[in-house]
Amino acid sequence: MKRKGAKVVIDAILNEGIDVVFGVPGGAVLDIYDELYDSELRHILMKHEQCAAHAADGYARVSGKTGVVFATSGPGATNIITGLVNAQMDSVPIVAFTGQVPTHQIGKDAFQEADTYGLSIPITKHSYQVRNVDILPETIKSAFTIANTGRKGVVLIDLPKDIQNKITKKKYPNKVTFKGYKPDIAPKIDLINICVDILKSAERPVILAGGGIITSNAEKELKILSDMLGAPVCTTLMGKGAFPEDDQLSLGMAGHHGKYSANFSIRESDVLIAIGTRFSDRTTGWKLSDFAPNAVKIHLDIDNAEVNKNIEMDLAIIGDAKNTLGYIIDLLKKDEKKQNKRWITKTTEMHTACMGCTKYFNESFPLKPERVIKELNDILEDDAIVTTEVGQTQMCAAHYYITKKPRTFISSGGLGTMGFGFPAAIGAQVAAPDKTVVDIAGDGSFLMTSQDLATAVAYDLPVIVVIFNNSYLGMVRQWQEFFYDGRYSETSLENHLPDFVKYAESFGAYGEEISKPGELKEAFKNAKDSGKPAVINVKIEKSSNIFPMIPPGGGLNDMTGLQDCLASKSGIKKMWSESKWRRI
Amino acid sequence: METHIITVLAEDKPGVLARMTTMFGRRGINLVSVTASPSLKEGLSRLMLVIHGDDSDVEKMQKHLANLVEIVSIKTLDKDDIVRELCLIKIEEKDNITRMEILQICSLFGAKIIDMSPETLTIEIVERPEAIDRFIANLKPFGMKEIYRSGMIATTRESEKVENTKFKKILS
Repeated sequence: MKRKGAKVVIDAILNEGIDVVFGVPGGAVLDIYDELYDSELRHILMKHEQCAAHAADGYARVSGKTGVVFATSGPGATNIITGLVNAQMDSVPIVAFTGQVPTHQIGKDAFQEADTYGLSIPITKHSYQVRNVDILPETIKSAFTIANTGRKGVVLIDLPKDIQNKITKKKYPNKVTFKGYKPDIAPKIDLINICVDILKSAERPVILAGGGIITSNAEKELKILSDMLGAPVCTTLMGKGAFPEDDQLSLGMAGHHGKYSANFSIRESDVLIAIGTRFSDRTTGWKLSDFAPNAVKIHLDIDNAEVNKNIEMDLAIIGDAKNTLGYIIDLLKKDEKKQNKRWITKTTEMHTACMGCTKYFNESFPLKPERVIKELNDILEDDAIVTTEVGQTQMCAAHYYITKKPRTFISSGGLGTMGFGFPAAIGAQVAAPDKTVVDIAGDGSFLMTSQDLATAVAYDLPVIVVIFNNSYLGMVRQWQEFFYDGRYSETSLENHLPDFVKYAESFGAYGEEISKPGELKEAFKNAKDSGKPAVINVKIEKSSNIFPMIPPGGGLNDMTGLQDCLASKSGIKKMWSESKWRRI
Repeated sequence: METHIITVLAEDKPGVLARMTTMFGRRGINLVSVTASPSLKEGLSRLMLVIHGDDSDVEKMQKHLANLVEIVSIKTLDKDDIVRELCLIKIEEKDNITRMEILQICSLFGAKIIDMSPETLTIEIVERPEAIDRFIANLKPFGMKEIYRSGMIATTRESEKVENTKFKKILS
């Protein structure tokens, strides 16, 4: 059967079981879009290519499928770069198709020509520029395979316009094999045995769960392991949702702006088993000698290059999380492990004290952001999907939003891209049309990508944006307050912000503004009842600071601002007295 | 800090070399030389990478290389293996007696004069890189006009099997 290159693309995407792509058309992709016109493939027309990439990213994180992006050559392709780096850093499977000028014009500075392939080299898992239409089907199959196997990531295919037009008879292969790429690694059994011996002997075990648990769909195995060992679980930002945060053994997020309970448990542990995490500096702090200094450290990960990259491990097992945990659990089942009840009580009581933070329950005016998160916790269903922007609001949500299921907390972890949350929410809503999707946004972040309110309205995607509006680039302002003598250089957004209600309404969305505790419930109900995408502008206290935090150069022991985050003075006293643990 | 030689088999496709060298730059690995040539296996290129660093740099580099899709195999060689480099040197010298001195040094190091004019001598030497360094040091007084070094290539020594434990780390 003879097909044009452009048709090969559309057919291949459908063949992979993907039913939606996100993109913006342009000259160099006219042929692809022409084939799209008659096809069953759903396309969401975004208003900026960066948003198309972020939407595909949000879609992939929520559905577990590959996100597919279409962009034209030149500025279209350069516009998706941020989105691709963002996805690659968080190991999200994306296949991006970019148009390119015809092959005979490449390298001649043609109109809308950019060296997309060159730009893709350091930022993708792999990329291709196809110059021969007969290898196009195999290339696309390779791209989807690479994006979805091993440590998942971004693959870009740069497709010159003339190739899109050329005819090929080649069929789409069912499978491709690679000469060098062999991602399926079975974990080594002798190492599993050693791991199980270490775990059995642990008196103060802690599990650090990362994004890899969620990618591998290993949340059941994680819960079984935690219950069997009596091991409390802390997560990284990417791992939020891997373990239900209302479970007795949950200690919340660890790291830079993490919970004291999580960081304390890591510090005091004698066995730390880290699964599917890369030990980002946000998780470990900067002073690495303070990270689990007393523990035997076990690392389960799919990427060998992450082992011993930042922290020296005592044991590392390479493999898929679900698979590896399966082996470990089978071996552990054979003898029952005696659980250290004192350790469980100590760490979980501490977590309760953290959740009892006075700011969280505070009913003062102006609103504290922690209070707004509490109200969201009360309003939202367990399977609601929350996306975040980046900054204070993100850390506040990560700290206080009680995430119970995987793939319901979508946040830009590695790259920390402001403006990610809203288009990701659009992608999330496309992936899960029946769920409530909320973007927890700062005012600065939302303005970066808010033009896609038009997209949300056009496709009836009733995403609800909750803007934590303090008219500041909050996280930067916080750092300027503590480390730059309060010299607030270019962080005030006073006079820079629109009337968000009118702004939303101008797109045809629902808008409402609130400023007092308790008002969010009704505003949220109004937003939901409208059936439209909505923006709720929540005016919060102008100069709030997110605590606890680790100052530059510090480690997990150097958390500051704790007094704001714990339940009571006696609670704090109790925690400081826990230094007796170090004598054990 | 030492010199380490890694030999890589990679798919012979456009962009493979760019992807490798970009990765080294990103990860802060000090690349001394790269040579690439067709290998005996169809569709695969043989690359020889020489880096300057310590054992942890080698380990880091091997792991990151292994993650690249088009890399088929990676092997570390060391100074006990057979290492060679080609160097071409152009010297400007008209005086006959000085030219004789240069010839003597060449003969000592096994270098050849491959081209000549009344003003210049062009010298070729194929040797271990350290020997080339010494050769060049000896020629310094003679005003070298140009030096081209090809970068190292290496292959395992078959005559003595020595356990290269210093470059193997039991990771997992």
